[in-house]
Amino acid sequence: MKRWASSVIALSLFGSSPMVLAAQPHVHGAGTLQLVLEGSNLNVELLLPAMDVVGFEHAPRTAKHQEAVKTAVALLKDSRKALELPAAAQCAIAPGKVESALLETRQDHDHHEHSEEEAHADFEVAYRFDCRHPESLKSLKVTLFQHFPRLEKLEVQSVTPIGPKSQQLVPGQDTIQLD
Amino acid sequence: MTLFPLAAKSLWNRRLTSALVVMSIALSVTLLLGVERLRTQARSSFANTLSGTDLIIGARSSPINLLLYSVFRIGDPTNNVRWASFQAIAAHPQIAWTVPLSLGDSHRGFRVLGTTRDYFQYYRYGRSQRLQWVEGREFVEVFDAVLGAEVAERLGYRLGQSMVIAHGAGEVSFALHDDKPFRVVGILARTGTPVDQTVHVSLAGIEAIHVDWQGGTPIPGQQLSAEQVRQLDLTPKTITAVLVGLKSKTAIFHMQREINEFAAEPLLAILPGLTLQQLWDMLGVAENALLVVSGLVVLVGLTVMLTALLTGLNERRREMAILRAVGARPGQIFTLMLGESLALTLCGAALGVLLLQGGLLWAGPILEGRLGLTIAGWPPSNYEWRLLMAVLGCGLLAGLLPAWRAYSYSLADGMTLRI
Repeated sequence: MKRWASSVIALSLFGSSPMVLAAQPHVHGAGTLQLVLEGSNLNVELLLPAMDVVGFEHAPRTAKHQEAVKTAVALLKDSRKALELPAAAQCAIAPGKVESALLETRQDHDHHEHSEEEAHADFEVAYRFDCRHPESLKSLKVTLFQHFPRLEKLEVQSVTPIGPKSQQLVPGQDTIQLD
Repeated sequence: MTLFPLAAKSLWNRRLTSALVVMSIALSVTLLLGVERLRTQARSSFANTLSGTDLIIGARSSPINLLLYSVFRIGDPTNNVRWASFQAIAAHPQIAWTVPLSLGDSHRGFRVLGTTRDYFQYYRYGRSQRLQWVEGREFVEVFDAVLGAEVAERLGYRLGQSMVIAHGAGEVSFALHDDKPFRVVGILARTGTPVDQTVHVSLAGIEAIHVDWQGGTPIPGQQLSAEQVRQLDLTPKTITAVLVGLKSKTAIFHMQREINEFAAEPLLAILPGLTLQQLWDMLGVAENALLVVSGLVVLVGLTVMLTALLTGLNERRREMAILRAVGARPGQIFTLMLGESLALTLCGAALGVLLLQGGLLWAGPILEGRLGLTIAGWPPSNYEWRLLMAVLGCGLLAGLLPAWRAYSYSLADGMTLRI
């Protein structure tokens, strides 16, 4: 996870900016899923409000909180729990990478001193798939709603060779159409 | 089969009413199909305006606003992007190419776009089509201008002609940059996009005409000649928006987030395709309302037919009685009446389609010139065929009522009619 995080920062020219002017929107019950399909690579990134994942948005204080975070991370790391890809696409699955302010240790937290942002926290998850037959990726089923009942909708933005597209998923209507 | 000529003659006998009925159905069908056509063609026309651009960057405002002013030249930017920010973004390792855009001046109602030569290389429309040249070349000198097809055609400009650019975007402007005229060096081929309505000049050109201006007017006593201006550093201080192409699409959302969190200046990055979809989602309600209204107008048209047939029925009792007397069965009377409404609806629908074609032939060039909308008239889409079929179906359904009335008349009192 560390390695992934540092590669993102390396990718970013503006990563060392002293102050972030804009924050991403944060709405409880609503997550976002961004998906890029290029060549055989399928990249999926999830942004879920911590409230919908574990039920609180502060650093875990009790053993129960710790347990909830641990369970959630384990669940999110397993991409098969979040997405069902068509078997015909033959995608190799790598474990997902999970990031969240809730995962930082107490010391880290004091160090960062972003008390203003503490009011809200998110879980960021990245999945990377390598697919043998990406042309078979016509639709993806999102199974997150089963695992996180507090999640009410998911904004999906996808970029595929056909072009960009946005759709909204809700429980019961949980399939991303890519064609 | 003597029924058909009889029906035709009967209709001809009531030609004024029949013509009015056909006309009202035709007009309603024209409206229905016209709304549908405008809706779908406007969509495809918008979608075909820009392709191959991964991100558009501008000052932070609404994504739809940024898309409209940067690509479709609709509306105005809220703010500009600093040149230093543009350079920082252009130098990003993930970015393959950038095309800066600078808007704000006009030439006789056409927008003037300041950009770089990369515009001609990277701008794509339709299915990744490149801009083509009718004649001439890209701008090289500070005061060179490249015209879109519509600009050249409507103003009748040729290569080598000089033109004066006005300050601001209005059709009539009193603030002219007339001390520094531009020279036409190239004319682009027609694209059916807003490019046709654009005058393209270099960023240095835009900067040059504003060097000795301040607050929208020339600074008195400080006029610089075109020659003097050429010696200055003409790097722009701000631009309006940037078109961006990425090396790999995989980074597209990361890039968008980074630009949205750009520290030095509040910026906004959008994926043009997604934002266009957002726009359609917003307009979808209005579009559907229009379609519903035009559907209701068709119902009104059919009601007019029903009224005419039903009132006519009373006057035609004698006609029915004679038909019965010469041996027509009640079933044949029924078919006759039903056939009549079907014929009226069919004529109305056919005339409606013709009217629409004529209207598009007449209004097409105006729409294309003013809005850059290319509306093809023929052939009707599958959906339009289905709409037409629905209209015919409704006509037939409406015809059941007078047909049934005529049928029961002819049974009950047709033969005992007293005069």
